[in-house]
Amino acid sequence: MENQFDLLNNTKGFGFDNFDPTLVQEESVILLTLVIDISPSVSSYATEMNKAFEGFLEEMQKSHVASKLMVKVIEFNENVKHVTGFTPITNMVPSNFHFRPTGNFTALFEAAKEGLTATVNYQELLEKTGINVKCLVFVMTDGEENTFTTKSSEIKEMLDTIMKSEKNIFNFETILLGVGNENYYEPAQKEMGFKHLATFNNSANEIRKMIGFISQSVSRSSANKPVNF
Amino acid sequence: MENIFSISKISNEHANHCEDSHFTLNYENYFIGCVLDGCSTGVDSHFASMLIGKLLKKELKFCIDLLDKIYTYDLPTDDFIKNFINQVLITTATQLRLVTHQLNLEENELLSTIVLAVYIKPFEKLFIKIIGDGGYLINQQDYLMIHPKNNMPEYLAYHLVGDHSISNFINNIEVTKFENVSEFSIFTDGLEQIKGPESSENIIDYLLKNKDFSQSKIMLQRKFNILTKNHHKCNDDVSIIRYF
Repeated sequence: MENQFDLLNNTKGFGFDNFDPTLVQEESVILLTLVIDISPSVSSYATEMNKAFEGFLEEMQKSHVASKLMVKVIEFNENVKHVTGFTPITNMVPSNFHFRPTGNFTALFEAAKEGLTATVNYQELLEKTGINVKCLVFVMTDGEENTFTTKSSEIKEMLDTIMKSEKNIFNFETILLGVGNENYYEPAQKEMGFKHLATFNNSANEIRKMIGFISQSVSRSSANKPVNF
Repeated sequence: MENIFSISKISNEHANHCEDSHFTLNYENYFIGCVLDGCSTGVDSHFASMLIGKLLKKELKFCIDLLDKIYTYDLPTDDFIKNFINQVLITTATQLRLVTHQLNLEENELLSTIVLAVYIKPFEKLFIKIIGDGGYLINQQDYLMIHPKNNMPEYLAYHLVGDHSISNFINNIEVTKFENVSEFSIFTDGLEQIKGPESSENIIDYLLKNKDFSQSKIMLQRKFNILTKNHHKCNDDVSIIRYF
């Protein structure tokens, strides 16, 4: 009677970089997807962001939600790079993360799409193996889409489908964190159908506030409270 | 490597409290597991199963030191272990009677069944005592669920009136011994009340025999979540302990 519900077959191919779902030790987890713009325009606040991000990881590793938090990091300019798969935050090395402004363009839509796809795929995999999941997808950018490899409507459609599922109504949050002039990214947030927009200027204080907002959202999510501003 | 999994799962019928409870004690040479089922028609039965469980656990913790010392010199005989189990239960019942007076509890506030398992690891011997109802599965083969007459278990609380009554009641219930035990489960009767598209047999096999997710300490919780996701419902609270 081994594997009579055919579950383990379904966990095969969970992704080389993602944490093996069968080894998850918590009944409920939070998937935190961070999609981070590293195009050259972020140079003005990259140093502060790196510092704040390292501090964020260190802080979350000590928090009461650490055992439930799995993080995936994606960075993008004109290319999209999956820096990590979904990894328990306790297994991450904060000093390993260093976002360096490079490239020429901003593939915002493609990065958002890949972030959402990776999140939904891993969410489904975890749920199939008996884990309850909450998802927080943050896209951090200061600019507008200018590669047009992916249409915003594709993301909107994808999000509409995700949010139609009853389980996701209170468990799947999408937040665009915008830095600087909101005329660049606010239209993208609306076109993609991201639920929230939080705006910050590029001062050191505001960048710290932005990263602090992510940890607040994680804490609220773990307490079954909605993300708010 | 030994694997120990346990769960007490509230049914769809109960809103606030799971009336079943469980505890485990794991030592180098001994593993002790206990599941308790508070009577649904009793009063505050979640409290009854928890209270009896706490008293029994306290008594076992105290006595296991003695057992460990004896084991250092010689293997305890089967009769010794059986007597040990009975004595622990008698002392627990005496303690329960004391607490009953202190808290001014009524009999219907103390109704809980008990399934107690004592496993001697080096000799792979298992001793089980069932008071009321409940069941076990040994080596993936020997399955037993005790169904009392008219679904009216003989609760320990009915016998708290005098010392003689307590010891008579406990000593008259058999301690069952099993040899060459490499794995076992004990459970409350709610196990057979999980209903859904899969047959009861398949559900029991999935929970008690299948070893998916054994690398995760929450194996049973994950299995229940999967059953729920696949449209299965617990129509009664259930407690399970698995050892393999």
